[in-house]
Amino acid sequence: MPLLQVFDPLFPVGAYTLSNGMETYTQKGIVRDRGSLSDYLASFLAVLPYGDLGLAAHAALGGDAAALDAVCNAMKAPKELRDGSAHLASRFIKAVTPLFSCPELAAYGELVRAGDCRGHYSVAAGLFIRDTGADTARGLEIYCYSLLAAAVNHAAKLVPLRQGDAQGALADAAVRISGAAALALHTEIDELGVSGAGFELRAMQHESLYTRLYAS
Amino acid sequence: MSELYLKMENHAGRTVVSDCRFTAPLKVAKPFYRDDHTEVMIMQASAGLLSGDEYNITIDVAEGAEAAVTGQSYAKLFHANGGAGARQRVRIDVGDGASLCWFPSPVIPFAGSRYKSQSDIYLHENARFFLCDILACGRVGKGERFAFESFRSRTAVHVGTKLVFLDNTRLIPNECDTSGTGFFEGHTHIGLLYLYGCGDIKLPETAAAEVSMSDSAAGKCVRLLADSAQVLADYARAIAPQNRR
Repeated sequence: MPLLQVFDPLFPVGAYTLSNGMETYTQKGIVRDRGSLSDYLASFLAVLPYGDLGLAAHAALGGDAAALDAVCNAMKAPKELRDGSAHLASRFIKAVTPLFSCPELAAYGELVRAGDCRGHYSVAAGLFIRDTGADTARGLEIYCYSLLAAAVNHAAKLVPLRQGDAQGALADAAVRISGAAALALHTEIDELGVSGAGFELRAMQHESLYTRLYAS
Repeated sequence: MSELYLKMENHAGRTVVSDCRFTAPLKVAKPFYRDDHTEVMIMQASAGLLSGDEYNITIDVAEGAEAAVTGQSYAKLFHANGGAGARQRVRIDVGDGASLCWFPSPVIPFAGSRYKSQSDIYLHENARFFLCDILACGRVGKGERFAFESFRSRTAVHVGTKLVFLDNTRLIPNECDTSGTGFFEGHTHIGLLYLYGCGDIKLPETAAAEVSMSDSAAGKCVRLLADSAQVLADYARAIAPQNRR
């Protein structure tokens, strides 16, 4: 239950301000309907086990949080993605630590406060999954679902899409969540840091879009 | 396994190749002494990388030396024929007050090829560094696109001991549509530039490529999508620090 609560899109960490490049994709008309949103989600899910989901998996399995934080900070070359992830982490730590007993997440919060880590959302998410003692794969699936749902909600607002089309694309993508979580659990640390050239380019272009509703 | 070791040093204001060793098919051409830096070309006396080939390249640019190291033409990756594919390891050190422009050859992964490379780059905080990586989706001129089996290339840049930039390119066309959204997005070539200590850059306008830049954890990263390796190489050369003085 704690995982459903903290990864709910309505949990107050500010995810609604971060489109992670989706705003560029919709403005350029690359994501414009259910089919093109499904294409986006398929690619997003293909890199996720080697990106944020892989980082969360390593953190959930007891990996070195500082090393994972450094990988995350270095792989997020587009500034808005890096800043957005750090912003979510800081809000997440602040919101979650008073609600639940979570020594791993609290210790990460101390590293961030001391300036030893930047603080990234995927690492914080993984540490909290570890703290709850939940089944790691199930925890990662819930985290992964929240990332997909956020992308779909942003696309639905930005295009705009009919609710049925947006939910249809989400339902199509969601069947691959458990596979993505299983992959994430078996990545080597050297396999992490995958982002996709197109995803990165669009996230960088977001910095100079003429009209922007989102911070990334 | 083919090895190449290259050391460049500043001798009384001039950058010289102070140590150089290599095994076939890798070799190093006679250096070019430019006004403000020394350029070395790495050549390979073979058609390309065959399955099982392993290149191990080490470049050390010592304190105060100013160097450019380039590849020759294209790096062709041949069909793995059921084998493990080709591998490459690169280790680069750039010292205090030193600079390096690293322009490896654009890579063309042929149908059925498998490739894995790892580059570990260590910069002194007062170093300058420019990297240009260009990848084609296949032998585009022959209509061959995304026919390779797997292409994996990891580049990690450290300043001192701190990891500041990580690119991990993972392209396995059987896993997902690497030609589409999030990857090549309808283009045939991708480019990655990474700049450290190179000052402010204004990206030139171009109609031939999609280009964008951002501040990474340290230094700057530029991503490009285009339909020719030459377009990307020309663009990269135009903003390389040694061409902007």
